[in-house]
Amino acid sequence: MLQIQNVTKKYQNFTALEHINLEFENGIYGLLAPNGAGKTTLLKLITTLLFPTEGELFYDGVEIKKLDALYREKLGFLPQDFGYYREYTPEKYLHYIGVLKGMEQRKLREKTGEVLELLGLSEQKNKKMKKFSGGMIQRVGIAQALLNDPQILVLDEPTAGLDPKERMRFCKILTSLSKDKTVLLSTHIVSDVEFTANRIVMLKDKGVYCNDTVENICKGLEGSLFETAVEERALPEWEERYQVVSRRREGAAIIVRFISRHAEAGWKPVKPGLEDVFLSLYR
Amino acid sequence: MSDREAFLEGMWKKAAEKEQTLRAAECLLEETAKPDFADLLKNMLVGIGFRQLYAGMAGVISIAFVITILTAYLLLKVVLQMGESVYVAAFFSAPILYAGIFTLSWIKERGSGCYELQMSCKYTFCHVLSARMLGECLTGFVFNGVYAAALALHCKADGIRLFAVSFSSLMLFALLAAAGILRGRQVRGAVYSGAVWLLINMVFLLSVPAVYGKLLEELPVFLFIGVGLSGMCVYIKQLILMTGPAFRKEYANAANTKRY
Repeated sequence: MLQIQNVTKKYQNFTALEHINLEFENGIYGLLAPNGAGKTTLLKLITTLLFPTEGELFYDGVEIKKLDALYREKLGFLPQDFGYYREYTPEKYLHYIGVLKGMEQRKLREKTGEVLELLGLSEQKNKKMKKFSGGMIQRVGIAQALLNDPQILVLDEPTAGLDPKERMRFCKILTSLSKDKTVLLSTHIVSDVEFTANRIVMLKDKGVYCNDTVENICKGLEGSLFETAVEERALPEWEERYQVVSRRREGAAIIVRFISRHAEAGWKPVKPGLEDVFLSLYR
Repeated sequence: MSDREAFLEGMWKKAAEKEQTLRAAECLLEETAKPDFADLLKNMLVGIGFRQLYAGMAGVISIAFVITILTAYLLLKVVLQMGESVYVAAFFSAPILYAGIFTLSWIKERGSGCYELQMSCKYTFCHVLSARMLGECLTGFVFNGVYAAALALHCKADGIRLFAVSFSSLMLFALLAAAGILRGRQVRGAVYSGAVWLLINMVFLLSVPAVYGKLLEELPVFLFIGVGLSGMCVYIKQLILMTGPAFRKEYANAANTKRY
Protein backbone atom coordinates (compact mmCIF):
# COMPACT_ATOMS: atom_id res chain seq x y z
CA MET A 1 0.00 0.00 0.00
CA LEU A 2 1.21 3.48 -0.90
CA GLN A 3 0.54 6.26 1.60
CA ILE A 4 1.02 9.98 1.19
CA GLN A 5 1.11 11.65 4.58
CA ASN A 6 0.66 15.37 4.96
CA VAL A 7 2.76 16.16 1.90
CA THR A 8 3.48 19.73 0.83
CA LYS A 9 5.55 20.62 -2.20
CA LYS A 10 6.92 24.09 -2.74
CA TYR A 11 8.97 25.34 -5.65
CA GLN A 12 10.84 28.33 -4.26
CA ASN A 13 7.97 30.82 -3.68
CA PHE A 14 5.27 28.78 -5.39
CA THR A 15 3.27 26.10 -3.53
CA ALA A 16 2.12 23.34 -5.88
CA LEU A 17 0.58 20.99 -3.32
CA GLU A 18 -0.40 21.53 0.30
CA HIS A 19 -1.05 18.95 3.05
CA ILE A 20 -1.92 16.05 0.80
CA ASN A 21 -3.10 12.86 2.48
CA LEU A 22 -3.86 9.86 0.28
CA GLU A 23 -3.79 6.08 0.44
CA PHE A 24 -3.56 3.84 -2.58
CA GLU A 25 -4.34 0.13 -2.49
CA ASN A 26 -4.63 -2.30 -5.41
CA GLY A 27 -6.96 -1.02 -8.10
CA ILE A 28 -7.23 1.80 -10.60
CA TYR A 29 -7.15 5.36 -9.32
CA GLY A 30 -8.11 8.12 -11.70
CA LEU A 31 -6.38 11.40 -10.94
CA LEU A 32 -8.49 14.20 -12.33
CA ALA A 33 -7.63 17.86 -12.35
CA PRO A 34 -7.20 20.57 -14.92
CA ASN A 35 -3.75 21.51 -16.15
CA GLY A 36 -1.70 23.28 -13.52
CA ALA A 37 -3.59 21.85 -10.54
CA GLY A 38 -0.65 19.80 -9.28
CA LYS A 39 -1.34 16.45 -10.93
CA THR A 40 2.11 16.11 -12.44
CA THR A 41 3.78 17.30 -9.22
CA LEU A 42 1.91 14.61 -7.28
CA LEU A 43 2.96 11.96 -9.80
CA LYS A 44 6.54 13.19 -9.68
CA LEU A 45 6.52 12.83 -5.90
CA ILE A 46 5.23 9.28 -6.20
CA THR A 47 7.82 8.38 -8.82
CA THR A 48 10.70 9.98 -6.82
CA LEU A 49 11.35 12.58 -9.49
CA LEU A 50 10.67 15.11 -6.76
CA PHE A 51 10.88 15.03 -3.01
CA PRO A 52 8.35 16.66 -0.69
CA THR A 53 9.09 19.92 1.09
CA GLU A 54 7.09 18.61 4.06
CA GLY A 55 5.47 15.28 4.85
CA GLU A 56 6.42 11.79 3.77
CA LEU A 57 5.50 9.00 1.36
CA PHE A 58 5.39 5.43 2.60
CA TYR A 59 5.29 2.10 0.81
CA ASP A 60 4.06 -0.75 2.98
CA GLY A 61 4.79 1.32 6.07
CA VAL A 62 8.39 2.26 5.18
CA GLU A 63 9.44 5.71 3.92
CA ILE A 64 10.11 5.48 0.19
CA LYS A 65 13.29 7.55 0.51
CA LYS A 66 14.65 4.81 2.75
CA LEU A 67 13.55 2.07 0.39
CA ASP A 68 15.29 3.97 -2.42
CA ALA A 69 16.11 1.52 -5.27
CA LEU A 70 13.92 -1.18 -3.71
CA TYR A 71 10.95 1.14 -4.17
CA ARG A 72 11.90 2.21 -7.69
CA GLU A 73 12.13 -1.46 -8.69
CA LYS A 74 8.42 -1.71 -7.97
CA LEU A 75 7.58 1.30 -10.12
CA GLY A 76 6.36 1.56 -13.68
CA PHE A 77 6.09 5.10 -15.00
CA LEU A 78 4.91 6.70 -18.19
CA PRO A 79 5.77 10.42 -18.05
CA GLN A 80 3.67 12.98 -19.87
CA ASP A 81 6.54 13.87 -22.20
CA PHE A 82 7.97 10.45 -22.58
CA GLY A 83 11.49 10.44 -24.02
CA TYR A 84 12.88 7.87 -26.39
CA TYR A 85 15.81 7.42 -28.73
CA ARG A 86 14.65 8.01 -32.29
CA GLU A 87 17.22 5.66 -33.77
CA TYR A 88 16.18 2.77 -31.52
CA THR A 89 13.76 -0.03 -32.37
CA PRO A 90 11.09 -0.78 -29.72
CA GLU A 91 12.87 -4.01 -28.85
CA LYS A 92 16.23 -2.29 -28.33
CA TYR A 93 14.60 0.54 -26.39
CA LEU A 94 12.76 -1.85 -24.08
CA HIS A 95 15.98 -3.74 -23.52
CA TYR A 96 17.74 -0.53 -22.50
CA ILE A 97 14.96 0.52 -20.13
CA GLY A 98 14.78 -3.02 -18.72
CA VAL A 99 18.49 -2.85 -17.89
CA LEU A 100 17.97 0.47 -16.10
CA LYS A 101 15.09 -1.12 -14.21
CA GLY A 102 17.57 -3.73 -12.99
CA MET A 103 15.87 -6.64 -14.71
CA GLU A 104 17.68 -9.92 -15.15
CA GLN A 105 18.52 -10.69 -18.81
CA ARG A 106 16.36 -13.83 -19.22
CA LYS A 107 13.31 -12.26 -17.63
CA LEU A 108 13.88 -9.10 -19.67
CA ARG A 109 13.84 -11.03 -22.95
CA GLU A 110 10.66 -12.85 -21.94
CA LYS A 111 8.87 -9.71 -20.76
CA THR A 112 9.94 -7.68 -23.82
CA GLY A 113 8.21 -10.15 -26.14
CA GLU A 114 5.20 -10.28 -23.84
CA VAL A 115 4.59 -6.53 -23.60
CA LEU A 116 5.24 -5.96 -27.30
CA GLU A 117 2.58 -8.58 -28.05
CA LEU A 118 0.20 -7.08 -25.48
CA LEU A 119 0.50 -3.60 -27.01
CA GLY A 120 0.29 -4.89 -30.60
CA LEU A 121 3.86 -3.93 -31.44
CA SER A 122 5.29 -7.36 -32.28
CA GLU A 123 5.37 -6.70 -36.00
CA GLN A 124 7.08 -3.33 -35.57
CA LYS A 125 9.60 -4.48 -32.97
CA ASN A 126 12.55 -4.15 -35.34
CA LYS A 127 11.54 -0.89 -37.02
CA LYS A 128 13.20 2.36 -35.97
CA MET A 129 11.01 4.47 -33.72
CA LYS A 130 11.63 7.63 -35.75
CA LYS A 131 9.19 6.22 -38.30
CA PHE A 132 6.43 5.65 -35.73
CA SER A 133 3.19 7.61 -35.37
CA GLY A 134 2.33 9.38 -32.09
CA GLY A 135 0.00 6.53 -31.10
CA MET A 136 2.66 3.91 -31.69
CA ILE A 137 5.22 5.85 -29.66
CA GLN A 138 2.70 6.10 -26.84
CA ARG A 139 2.21 2.32 -27.00
CA VAL A 140 5.97 1.84 -26.66
CA GLY A 141 5.79 4.15 -23.64
CA ILE A 142 3.06 2.05 -22.06
CA ALA A 143 5.06 -1.11 -22.86
CA GLN A 144 8.14 0.17 -21.02
CA ALA A 145 6.00 1.08 -17.99
CA LEU A 146 4.68 -2.50 -17.85
CA LEU A 147 8.03 -4.14 -18.53
CA ASN A 148 9.12 -4.85 -14.93
CA ASP A 149 5.66 -6.05 -13.87
CA PRO A 150 5.40 -3.08 -11.46
CA GLN A 151 3.44 -3.05 -8.23
CA ILE A 152 2.75 0.65 -8.70
CA LEU A 153 1.95 1.75 -12.22
CA VAL A 154 1.90 5.52 -12.74
CA LEU A 155 0.60 6.80 -16.06
CA ASP A 156 0.56 10.50 -16.86
CA GLU A 157 -1.86 11.23 -19.72
CA PRO A 158 -1.43 7.74 -21.19
CA THR A 159 -4.17 8.02 -23.80
CA ALA A 160 -2.78 11.15 -25.45
CA GLY A 161 -2.29 10.34 -29.11
CA LEU A 162 -4.18 7.05 -29.03
CA ASP A 163 -7.14 6.51 -31.39
CA PRO A 164 -10.49 5.32 -29.90
CA LYS A 165 -9.75 1.66 -30.68
CA GLU A 166 -6.33 1.88 -29.02
CA ARG A 167 -7.85 3.66 -26.02
CA MET A 168 -10.39 0.86 -25.54
CA ARG A 169 -7.67 -1.74 -25.77
CA PHE A 170 -5.55 0.20 -23.29
CA CYS A 171 -8.43 0.45 -20.78
CA LYS A 172 -8.96 -3.31 -21.10
CA ILE A 173 -5.28 -3.95 -20.35
CA LEU A 174 -5.44 -1.66 -17.32
CA THR A 175 -8.50 -3.40 -15.92
CA SER A 176 -6.82 -6.80 -16.20
CA LEU A 177 -3.66 -5.47 -14.53
CA SER A 178 -5.35 -3.69 -11.64
CA LYS A 179 -6.19 -6.91 -9.82
CA ASP A 180 -2.86 -7.05 -8.04
CA LYS A 181 -1.39 -3.61 -8.71
CA THR A 182 -1.92 0.00 -7.82
CA VAL A 183 -2.61 1.84 -11.06
CA LEU A 184 -2.56 5.62 -10.99
CA LEU A 185 -3.90 7.21 -14.10
CA SER A 186 -3.67 10.93 -14.48
CA THR A 187 -5.78 12.55 -17.14
CA HIS A 188 -8.07 15.41 -17.97
CA ILE A 189 -10.12 13.19 -20.30
CA VAL A 190 -12.91 12.17 -17.93
CA SER A 191 -14.17 9.27 -20.06
CA ASP A 192 -10.78 7.55 -19.71
CA VAL A 193 -11.36 6.94 -16.02
CA GLU A 194 -15.13 7.10 -15.56
CA PHE A 195 -15.71 3.44 -16.33
CA THR A 196 -12.34 1.93 -15.50
CA ALA A 197 -11.22 3.56 -12.25
CA ASN A 198 -12.20 2.11 -8.89
CA ARG A 199 -11.71 5.47 -7.26
CA ILE A 200 -11.32 9.01 -8.45
CA VAL A 201 -8.97 11.51 -6.83
CA MET A 202 -9.72 15.12 -7.68
CA LEU A 203 -7.32 17.94 -6.90
CA LYS A 204 -8.35 21.50 -6.28
CA ASP A 205 -6.72 24.51 -4.65
CA LYS A 206 -3.45 22.65 -4.09
CA GLY A 207 -5.20 19.94 -2.08
CA VAL A 208 -7.31 16.81 -2.46
CA TYR A 209 -10.89 17.80 -3.22
CA CYS A 210 -12.26 14.25 -3.14
CA ASN A 211 -11.14 10.64 -3.15
CA ASP A 212 -14.14 8.42 -3.74
CA THR A 213 -15.91 6.09 -6.17
CA VAL A 214 -17.47 7.54 -9.32
CA GLU A 215 -20.92 6.68 -7.96
CA ASN A 216 -20.43 8.56 -4.69
CA ILE A 217 -18.87 11.54 -6.39
CA CYS A 218 -21.80 11.82 -8.80
CA LYS A 219 -24.30 11.45 -5.94
CA GLY A 220 -23.25 14.87 -4.74
CA LEU A 221 -24.84 16.46 -7.81
CA GLU A 222 -27.99 14.30 -7.88
CA GLY A 223 -31.17 16.39 -7.94
CA SER A 224 -29.25 19.57 -8.76
CA LEU A 225 -28.52 19.02 -12.43
CA PHE A 226 -31.03 20.12 -15.06
CA GLU A 227 -31.39 20.72 -18.76
CA THR A 228 -33.58 23.28 -20.45
CA ALA A 229 -33.82 25.08 -23.76
CA VAL A 230 -32.81 28.74 -23.72
CA GLU A 231 -32.82 31.38 -26.41
CA GLU A 232 -29.37 32.32 -27.57
CA ARG A 233 -29.69 35.96 -26.47
CA ALA A 234 -30.70 34.85 -22.96
CA LEU A 235 -27.67 32.65 -22.55
CA PRO A 236 -25.33 35.24 -20.93
CA GLU A 237 -27.95 35.92 -18.26
CA TRP A 238 -28.31 32.17 -17.59
CA GLU A 239 -24.63 31.80 -17.25
CA GLU A 240 -24.61 34.57 -14.70
CA ARG A 241 -27.50 33.14 -12.64
CA TYR A 242 -26.63 29.44 -12.79
CA GLN A 243 -23.52 27.34 -13.01
CA VAL A 244 -23.78 26.14 -16.60
CA VAL A 245 -21.91 22.88 -17.05
CA SER A 246 -22.34 22.47 -20.82
CA ARG A 247 -24.40 23.68 -23.76
CA ARG A 248 -25.39 22.36 -27.17
CA ARG A 249 -27.39 23.77 -30.05
CA GLU A 250 -30.71 22.18 -31.06
CA GLY A 251 -32.25 24.13 -33.91
CA ALA A 252 -32.70 27.75 -32.90
CA ALA A 253 -32.46 27.04 -29.18
CA ILE A 254 -29.52 26.26 -26.96
CA ILE A 255 -29.90 23.35 -24.55
CA VAL A 256 -28.08 24.25 -21.37
CA ARG A 257 -27.05 21.80 -18.68
CA PHE A 258 -26.76 23.59 -15.39
CA ILE A 259 -26.72 23.29 -11.63
CA SER A 260 -29.48 24.72 -9.46
CA ARG A 261 -30.44 24.09 -5.84
CA HIS A 262 -34.14 24.25 -6.67
CA ALA A 263 -36.17 22.88 -9.60
CA GLU A 264 -38.56 24.87 -11.75
CA ALA A 265 -41.29 23.85 -14.16
CA GLY A 266 -39.95 23.10 -17.62
CA TRP A 267 -36.56 22.04 -16.39
CA LYS A 268 -35.64 18.42 -17.06
CA PRO A 269 -33.68 16.76 -14.24
CA VAL A 270 -30.72 14.78 -15.55
CA LYS A 271 -28.53 12.07 -14.02
CA PRO A 272 -25.09 13.53 -13.35
CA GLY A 273 -21.97 11.93 -14.77
CA LEU A 274 -18.36 12.38 -13.75
CA GLU A 275 -17.85 14.88 -16.54
CA ASP A 276 -20.59 17.09 -15.03
CA VAL A 277 -18.90 17.03 -11.64
CA PHE A 278 -15.54 17.75 -13.26
CA LEU A 279 -16.88 20.66 -15.30
CA SER A 280 -18.82 22.14 -12.39
CA LEU A 281 -15.80 21.92 -10.16
CA TYR A 282 -13.22 23.39 -12.47
CA ARG A 283 -15.40 25.90 -14.25
CA MET B 1 -7.45 -13.04 32.62
CA SER B 2 -10.62 -12.53 30.62
CA ASP B 3 -10.87 -13.34 26.90
CA ARG B 4 -11.03 -9.64 26.11
CA GLU B 5 -7.89 -8.89 28.11
CA ALA B 6 -6.05 -11.81 26.54
CA PHE B 7 -7.08 -10.61 23.08
CA LEU B 8 -5.94 -7.06 23.80
CA GLU B 9 -2.64 -8.26 25.25
CA GLY B 10 -2.05 -10.36 22.15
CA MET B 11 -2.78 -7.37 19.94
CA TRP B 12 -0.33 -5.14 21.85
CA LYS B 13 2.34 -7.83 21.62
CA LYS B 14 1.83 -8.11 17.86
CA ALA B 15 1.95 -4.34 17.45
CA ALA B 16 5.21 -4.17 19.43
CA GLU B 17 6.71 -6.94 17.29
CA LYS B 18 5.71 -5.16 14.09
CA GLU B 19 7.20 -1.92 15.30
CA GLN B 20 10.45 -3.69 16.15
CA THR B 21 10.58 -5.31 12.68
CA LEU B 22 9.93 -1.99 10.98
CA ARG B 23 12.68 -0.32 12.99
CA ALA B 24 15.12 -3.11 12.10
CA ALA B 25 14.12 -2.87 8.43
CA GLU B 26 14.69 0.86 8.47
CA CYS B 27 18.18 0.45 10.00
CA LEU B 28 19.01 -2.17 7.39
CA LEU B 29 17.74 0.01 4.57
CA GLU B 30 19.69 3.01 5.82
CA GLU B 31 22.85 0.91 5.77
CA THR B 32 22.27 -0.45 2.28
CA ALA B 33 21.37 3.00 0.96
CA LYS B 34 24.98 4.16 1.43
CA PRO B 35 26.76 3.23 -1.80
CA ASP B 36 30.51 2.51 -2.03
CA PHE B 37 33.09 2.02 -4.79
CA ALA B 38 32.12 -1.64 -5.20
CA ASP B 39 28.53 -0.50 -5.89
CA LEU B 40 29.76 2.03 -8.43
CA LEU B 41 31.81 -0.62 -10.27
CA LYS B 42 28.98 -3.15 -10.01
CA ASN B 43 26.53 -0.63 -11.51
CA MET B 44 28.90 0.12 -14.38
CA LEU B 45 30.01 -3.39 -15.23
CA VAL B 46 27.20 -5.70 -14.13
CA GLY B 47 24.07 -3.66 -13.38
CA ILE B 48 23.87 -1.31 -16.33
CA GLY B 49 26.75 -2.91 -18.21
CA PHE B 50 29.32 -1.18 -20.37
CA ARG B 51 27.35 -1.90 -23.56
CA GLN B 52 24.13 -0.31 -22.34
CA LEU B 53 25.98 2.53 -20.67
CA TYR B 54 26.97 3.86 -24.08
CA ALA B 55 24.11 2.34 -26.08
CA GLY B 56 23.37 4.47 -29.12
CA MET B 57 26.45 6.60 -28.42
CA ALA B 58 28.81 5.04 -31.00
CA GLY B 59 28.44 8.14 -33.17
CA VAL B 60 29.26 10.66 -30.48
CA ILE B 61 32.15 8.57 -29.15
CA SER B 62 33.66 8.38 -32.65
CA ILE B 63 33.27 12.15 -33.05
CA ALA B 64 34.90 12.70 -29.64
CA PHE B 65 37.88 10.54 -30.67
CA VAL B 66 38.28 12.39 -33.98
CA ILE B 67 38.10 15.78 -32.21
CA THR B 68 40.62 14.64 -29.60
CA ILE B 69 43.14 13.32 -32.15
CA LEU B 70 42.85 16.46 -34.29
CA THR B 71 43.09 18.80 -31.31
CA ALA B 72 46.01 16.92 -29.80
CA TYR B 73 47.84 17.07 -33.14
CA LEU B 74 47.18 20.78 -33.64
CA LEU B 75 48.07 21.54 -30.04
CA LEU B 76 51.37 19.69 -30.39
CA LYS B 77 52.19 21.68 -33.54
CA VAL B 78 51.37 25.00 -31.84
CA VAL B 79 53.26 24.15 -28.66
CA LEU B 80 56.36 23.06 -30.58
CA GLN B 81 56.16 26.18 -32.74
CA MET B 82 56.02 28.27 -29.57
CA GLY B 83 59.21 26.60 -28.53
CA GLU B 84 57.57 24.84 -25.60
CA SER B 85 58.16 21.26 -24.50
CA VAL B 86 55.95 18.25 -25.39
CA TYR B 87 54.93 18.05 -21.71
CA VAL B 88 52.85 21.18 -22.22
CA ALA B 89 51.03 19.50 -25.10
CA ALA B 90 50.49 16.34 -23.02
CA PHE B 91 49.16 18.32 -20.05
CA PHE B 92 46.86 20.42 -22.21
CA SER B 93 45.38 17.65 -24.31
CA ALA B 94 44.95 15.04 -21.54
CA PRO B 95 41.33 15.89 -20.62
CA ILE B 96 40.05 16.50 -24.18
CA LEU B 97 38.74 12.98 -24.78
CA TYR B 98 37.05 12.93 -21.38
CA ALA B 99 35.47 16.34 -22.02
CA GLY B 100 34.46 15.37 -25.57
CA ILE B 101 32.68 12.12 -24.70
CA PHE B 102 31.09 13.68 -21.61
CA THR B 103 29.74 16.76 -23.40
CA LEU B 104 28.57 15.03 -26.58
CA SER B 105 26.86 12.16 -24.75
CA TRP B 106 25.18 14.68 -22.43
CA ILE B 107 23.89 16.69 -25.40
CA LYS B 108 22.55 13.51 -27.00
CA GLU B 109 20.96 12.37 -23.74
CA ARG B 110 19.26 15.74 -23.28
CA GLY B 111 17.83 15.55 -26.78
CA SER B 112 16.17 12.21 -26.05
CA GLY B 113 14.23 13.61 -23.08
CA CYS B 114 14.62 10.35 -21.14
CA TYR B 115 15.55 12.07 -17.87
CA GLU B 116 12.17 11.60 -16.13
CA LEU B 117 11.95 7.98 -17.11
CA GLN B 118 15.50 7.27 -16.00
CA MET B 119 14.95 8.93 -12.63
CA SER B 120 12.12 6.50 -11.87
CA CYS B 121 14.22 3.41 -12.68
CA LYS B 122 16.40 1.38 -10.32
CA TYR B 123 19.49 2.82 -12.01
CA THR B 124 18.62 6.49 -12.22
CA PHE B 125 20.08 9.20 -14.41
CA CYS B 126 22.56 9.89 -11.59
CA HIS B 127 23.76 6.26 -11.65
CA VAL B 128 24.18 6.40 -15.43
CA LEU B 129 25.96 9.74 -15.20
CA SER B 130 28.45 8.61 -12.54
CA ALA B 131 29.09 5.27 -14.27
CA ARG B 132 29.72 7.12 -17.54
CA MET B 133 32.06 9.56 -15.81
CA LEU B 134 34.04 6.62 -14.46
CA GLY B 135 34.06 5.05 -17.93
CA GLU B 136 35.21 8.32 -19.51
CA CYS B 137 38.01 8.61 -17.00
CA LEU B 138 39.21 5.07 -17.77
CA THR B 139 38.98 5.71 -21.53
CA GLY B 140 40.93 8.96 -21.13
CA PHE B 141 43.50 7.17 -18.99
CA VAL B 142 44.13 4.50 -21.67
CA PHE B 143 44.13 7.05 -24.51
CA ASN B 144 46.57 9.31 -22.65
CA GLY B 145 48.83 6.32 -22.01
CA VAL B 146 48.96 5.57 -25.74
CA TYR B 147 49.48 9.26 -26.55
CA ALA B 148 52.27 9.58 -23.97
CA ALA B 149 54.00 6.52 -25.44
CA ALA B 150 53.64 7.93 -28.96
CA LEU B 151 55.02 11.30 -27.89
CA ALA B 152 57.90 9.69 -26.01
CA LEU B 153 58.88 7.73 -29.10
CA HIS B 154 58.34 10.53 -31.60
CA CYS B 155 59.83 13.42 -29.63
CA LYS B 156 62.35 11.39 -27.63
CA ALA B 157 60.89 12.63 -24.33
CA ASP B 158 60.57 11.03 -20.89
CA GLY B 159 57.61 8.64 -21.27
CA ILE B 160 56.98 8.27 -17.55
CA ARG B 161 56.94 12.05 -17.03
CA LEU B 162 54.61 12.44 -20.01
CA PHE B 163 52.28 9.82 -18.56
CA ALA B 164 52.42 11.34 -15.06
CA VAL B 165 51.74 14.83 -16.39
CA SER B 166 48.72 13.74 -18.44
CA PHE B 167 47.44 11.57 -15.57
CA SER B 168 47.46 14.49 -13.13
CA SER B 169 45.89 16.78 -15.73
CA LEU B 170 43.07 14.32 -16.48
CA MET B 171 42.33 13.73 -12.81
CA LEU B 172 42.32 17.44 -11.95
CA PHE B 173 39.94 18.11 -14.81
CA ALA B 174 37.67 15.18 -13.88
CA LEU B 175 37.69 16.31 -10.27
CA LEU B 176 36.62 19.81 -11.26
CA ALA B 177 33.89 18.45 -13.53
CA ALA B 178 32.42 16.27 -10.77
CA ALA B 179 32.71 19.14 -8.28
CA GLY B 180 30.81 21.34 -10.76
CA ILE B 181 27.95 18.84 -10.91
CA LEU B 182 27.85 18.29 -7.16
CA ARG B 183 27.93 21.98 -6.39
CA GLY B 184 25.69 23.22 -9.19
CA ARG B 185 23.31 20.23 -9.06
CA GLN B 186 23.28 20.40 -12.84
CA VAL B 187 25.28 18.57 -15.47
CA ARG B 188 26.16 21.87 -17.07
CA GLY B 189 28.15 22.59 -13.89
CA ALA B 190 30.75 20.17 -15.25
CA VAL B 191 30.89 22.03 -18.55
CA TYR B 192 31.40 25.36 -16.75
CA SER B 193 34.14 23.86 -14.56
CA GLY B 194 35.82 22.40 -17.64
CA ALA B 195 35.70 25.75 -19.37
CA VAL B 196 37.24 27.44 -16.31
CA TRP B 197 40.04 24.83 -16.24
CA LEU B 198 40.76 25.45 -19.94
CA LEU B 199 40.69 29.22 -19.51
CA ILE B 200 43.06 29.24 -16.53
CA ASN B 201 45.54 27.03 -18.37
CA MET B 202 45.31 29.16 -21.52
CA VAL B 203 45.94 32.37 -19.58
CA PHE B 204 48.79 30.79 -17.66
CA LEU B 205 50.37 29.35 -20.80
CA LEU B 206 50.06 32.55 -22.82
CA SER B 207 51.11 34.95 -20.06
CA VAL B 208 54.04 33.02 -18.54
CA PRO B 209 54.87 30.28 -21.07
CA ALA B 210 58.37 29.78 -19.70
CA VAL B 211 57.13 29.10 -16.16
CA TYR B 212 54.35 26.80 -17.43
CA GLY B 213 56.75 24.65 -19.41
CA LYS B 214 59.43 24.72 -16.74
CA LEU B 215 57.05 23.55 -14.03
CA LEU B 216 55.94 20.60 -16.14
CA GLU B 217 59.53 19.72 -17.02
CA GLU B 218 61.16 20.17 -13.66
CA LEU B 219 58.69 19.31 -10.95
CA PRO B 220 59.33 15.77 -9.67
CA VAL B 221 57.38 12.96 -11.42
CA PHE B 222 56.13 11.54 -8.13
CA LEU B 223 54.46 14.87 -7.44
CA PHE B 224 52.37 14.55 -10.61
CA ILE B 225 51.56 10.94 -9.77
CA GLY B 226 50.69 11.98 -6.23
CA VAL B 227 48.38 14.72 -7.47
CA GLY B 228 46.78 12.29 -9.94
CA LEU B 229 46.24 9.59 -7.32
CA SER B 230 44.84 12.03 -4.75
CA GLY B 231 42.59 13.48 -7.44
CA MET B 232 41.44 9.99 -8.37
CA CYS B 233 40.51 9.17 -4.76
CA VAL B 234 38.49 12.37 -4.36
CA TYR B 235 36.93 11.88 -7.82
CA ILE B 236 35.74 8.37 -6.98
CA LYS B 237 34.33 9.68 -3.72
CA GLN B 238 32.47 12.35 -5.68
CA LEU B 239 31.05 9.77 -8.10
CA ILE B 240 29.87 7.64 -5.19
CA LEU B 241 28.21 10.72 -3.68
CA MET B 242 26.40 11.28 -6.99
CA THR B 243 24.65 7.92 -6.77
CA GLY B 244 23.56 8.45 -3.17
CA PRO B 245 20.01 9.40 -2.19
CA ALA B 246 20.98 12.79 -0.73
CA PHE B 247 22.49 14.11 -3.99
CA ARG B 248 19.71 12.54 -6.06
CA LYS B 249 17.14 14.39 -3.99
CA GLU B 250 18.93 17.71 -4.45
CA TYR B 251 19.48 17.07 -8.14
CA ALA B 252 15.86 16.03 -8.76
CA ASN B 253 14.49 19.03 -6.90
CA ALA B 254 16.86 21.40 -8.71
CA ALA B 255 15.93 19.89 -12.09
CA ASN B 256 12.26 20.49 -11.38
CA THR B 257 12.61 23.94 -9.86
CA LYS B 258 14.27 25.66 -12.81
CA ARG B 259 10.99 26.47 -14.48
CA TYR B 260 9.52 28.15 -11.41
